[in-house]
Amino acid sequence: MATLRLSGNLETLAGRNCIEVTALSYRDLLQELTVLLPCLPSEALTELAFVIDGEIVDQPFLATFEPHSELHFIQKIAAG
Amino acid sequence: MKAHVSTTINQEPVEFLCDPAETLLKVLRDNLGMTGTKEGCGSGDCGACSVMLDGELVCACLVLGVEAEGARIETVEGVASADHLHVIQEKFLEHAALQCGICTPGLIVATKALLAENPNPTEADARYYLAGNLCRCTGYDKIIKAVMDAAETMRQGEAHE
Amino acid sequence: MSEARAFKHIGQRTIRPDGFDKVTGKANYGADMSMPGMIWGAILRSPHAHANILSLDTTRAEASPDVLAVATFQDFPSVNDAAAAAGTLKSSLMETAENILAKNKVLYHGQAVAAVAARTEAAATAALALIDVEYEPLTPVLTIDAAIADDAPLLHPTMMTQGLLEPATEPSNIAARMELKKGDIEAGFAEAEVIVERSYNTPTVHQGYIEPHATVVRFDDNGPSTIWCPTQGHFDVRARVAQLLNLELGQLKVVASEIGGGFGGKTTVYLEPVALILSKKSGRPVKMTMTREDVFRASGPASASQSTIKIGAKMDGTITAMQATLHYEAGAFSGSPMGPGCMTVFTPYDVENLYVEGFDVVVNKPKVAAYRAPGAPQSEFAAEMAVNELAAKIGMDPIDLRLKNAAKEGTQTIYGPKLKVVGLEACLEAAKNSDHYRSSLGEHVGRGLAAGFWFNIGGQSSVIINLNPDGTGTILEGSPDIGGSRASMQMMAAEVLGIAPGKLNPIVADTEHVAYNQTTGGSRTTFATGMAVIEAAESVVDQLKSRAAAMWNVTAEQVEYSDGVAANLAGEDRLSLAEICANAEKTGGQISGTANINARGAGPSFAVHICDVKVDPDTGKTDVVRYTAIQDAGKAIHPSYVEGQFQGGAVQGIGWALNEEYVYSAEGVMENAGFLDYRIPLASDLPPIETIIVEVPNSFHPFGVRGVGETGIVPPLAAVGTAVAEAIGMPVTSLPCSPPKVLELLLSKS
Repeated sequence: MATLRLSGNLETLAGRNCIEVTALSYRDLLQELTVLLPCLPSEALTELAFVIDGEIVDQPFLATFEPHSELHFIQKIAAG
Repeated sequence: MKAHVSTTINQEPVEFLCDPAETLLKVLRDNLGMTGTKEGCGSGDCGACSVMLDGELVCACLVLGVEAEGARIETVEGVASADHLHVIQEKFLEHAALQCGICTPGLIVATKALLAENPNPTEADARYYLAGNLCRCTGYDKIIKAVMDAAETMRQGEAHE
Repeated sequence: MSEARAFKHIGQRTIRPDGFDKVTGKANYGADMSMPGMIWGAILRSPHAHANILSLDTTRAEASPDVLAVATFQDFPSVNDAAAAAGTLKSSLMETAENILAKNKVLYHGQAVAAVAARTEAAATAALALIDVEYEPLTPVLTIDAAIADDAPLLHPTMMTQGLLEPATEPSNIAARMELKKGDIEAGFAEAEVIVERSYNTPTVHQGYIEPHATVVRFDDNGPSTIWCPTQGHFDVRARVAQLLNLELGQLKVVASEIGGGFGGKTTVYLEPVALILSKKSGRPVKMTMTREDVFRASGPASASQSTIKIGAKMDGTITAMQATLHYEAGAFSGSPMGPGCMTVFTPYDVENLYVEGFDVVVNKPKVAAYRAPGAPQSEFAAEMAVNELAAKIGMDPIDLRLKNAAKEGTQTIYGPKLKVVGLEACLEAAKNSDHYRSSLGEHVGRGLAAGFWFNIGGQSSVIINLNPDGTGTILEGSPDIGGSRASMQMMAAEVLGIAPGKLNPIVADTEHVAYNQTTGGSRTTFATGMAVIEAAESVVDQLKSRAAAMWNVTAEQVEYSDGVAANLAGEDRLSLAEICANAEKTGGQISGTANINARGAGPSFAVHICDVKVDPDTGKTDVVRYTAIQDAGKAIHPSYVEGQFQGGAVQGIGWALNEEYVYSAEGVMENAGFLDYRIPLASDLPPIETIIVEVPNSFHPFGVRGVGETGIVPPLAAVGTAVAEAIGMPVTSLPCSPPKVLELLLSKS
């Protein structure tokens, strides 16, 4: 099972800092989270950047991950 | 009531009409379409509008259009000749002395004035002479290198003539 | 990728392709455009920092024969209360609109209230007196302390703090709270043998681009309306204006003029939607420009900040815990770069236990905009000052202390991901071995050193490369060139195609002539648009090979292409790129490569700066006497422009540290809204800025590029601050270290 690590406000909302997920794609992950962590609004998640094994994935719907992957949602960085 | 002004810009006779309150900068840019001279502040603090007025380096935003009457004005548009750049312009390019380029016309004009007054400036001379020309991109390092290199090249050119 | 890869053009110092126009005055910036029949717009600005608008009457202006159009907030068709109430995005659309033309309240001195258009600039300015506004002045809130006080006047009476542990029940001036943590902060401090704790603040500063905002807009009923403006992102201008004025994207064409500096400040819109409204109403093209004073008062400066840092360490220099509380001023509307400030504050350190709490605070100042590594200079200033204090306290060299705790490949960041290969240790080693760091110090001279981190981003870029029949070509890109990026695009394409860079003309195309490109920002252009250029050029190479194969009647696999020449592996045939192009008509038509990418794998860039300052003990005036900027570029495509980014960032940071600040009256009026009194560094203020380019390649980029634009502004604040502290023998906690403030410190000492 892949590990989703939660930090900052997501950790606060979820009341935990990590959760194991069976999903192996972004789409499935979002669906799984609506069941596992309904307190995390999926609109809020899709506003965030998605990170697979330390790498920000700009096209999450095209990306897949592995059962041992570590996943994060982080703030999108824009900048000057 | 508009004033009629006869002047010389980059060695060419020019006539224009302007409101007596209009600055030379406004006249150059909006009445004559010579937009090479830039506006950064309108208060004489940034030097982006540096031009020569009767051989003196001035901020065109602090000169009235009517003051051009009978005067000799030189702008950045007159620095290069028809077929080649001035050494100062070449050195600015070689040394990557511009990033956004908005301060560059003013700096080219001011550098030309510096080297006319003092063909052999120290780096400190150059830094103080150009202190009225603000650049926000480069940190001035490459500008000063370009100016010093241009000065040396121009001195060698003179020596060969 | 191999570090030893040999490049032909990459790494050379070529002449930039747009240089000729820029040294001769031919290049056209925002205010250089005119259109036939063009009229001028002008903006009426608020004389109050905080006031209710009781009435706004434009009748007299509209009746004036000089006035051709008037605009107010009421002209935004799609921004209504329903939209504002519906959610975050829509309410921020409302705030964007209110920042462009005030609705029923003004929240900073200089905020736009209404606009007119007239035949001349002078007539437009004069007509502003015909607009009647009645205000009810309110108490201005000008500092973080004043804003978060219990009895603070509220800027937005219904604003609830987002991100609290328990949902907010009372409105406040704190728009948002953010918390990040790693490990066990209490345990980390319990383990510590020495603790450093101090609070710091930084002032409101401005990006200080020399070109004021300007635009020329022509509304068109029968085709796309045209917006000409200097912007870091013309596609974003199109999106924002379309959203505000309820237009389809296809109804707008945005042309990015040359841009006279941006540094993050030209990533939003101020004049463009107003000019479009005025143009639509008057039926004439409209030009609008900001004065320098307008730029200071009413564009987006960078957040003032207050930070408290606590660090725990062992006497051997092992840092066991780092904690930060960060407050950022957002200006009049929520949305400071508090988030990235929290994410970057401790990223140069590989420390087990971290805790960061950030607050986004509204005050009666202009809404902040991005400024080069937005959020990072403020928070990392505080962290680096505290780290230097720790080094002094335990008697350890500041480089050794940093090396002992340096972030490296695999370091778990506080915001989540682990770092990939990064160049912080390489920068620290380069600093340690530098001539500067080994040099001795004179009297009244202090030395400071600081590290800095910025993420850098990738994102969407689109490029088209077209080759002409004679082998020359154009590169159509959509990333406005703020510092020489056309040169790097040209060099990267030339490297792939094996031809001289000068054969290719890079063009920043408008929104109609190239597909979507994300804004030039986040140090992304050379990385992401560069990747698109490389991909498009590689596609061109594939076509060149198949065209040569067609001419030789062999398969493309039998053709090898290098150094601008195709070779038939089955024989002696050779064709140059120009020869293949000359025959393109007979082998399939135009040769053209396109790439539409969403670049992944932007490599973070770390920097280390060393600064020596001399302080005049009688006046408190501080001069930077030596300065060295060291930064990881991954791979420097054009080393001169990479150095230029290091130097420019360093000097903006020096200005931030030494002189620059918004000075406010008690009424909330900025008292130094001009370049004479808001003093950015001059040529005579500075020594040469020495640079060391470190190259730890980013494996995600074909040539190893990391972004370089932003990181350079992060370390100077603490490098300068520490140098001043050392020179005067007193802690520095507040920027800028301007002469009066330094003199006050000196006097308090004696």
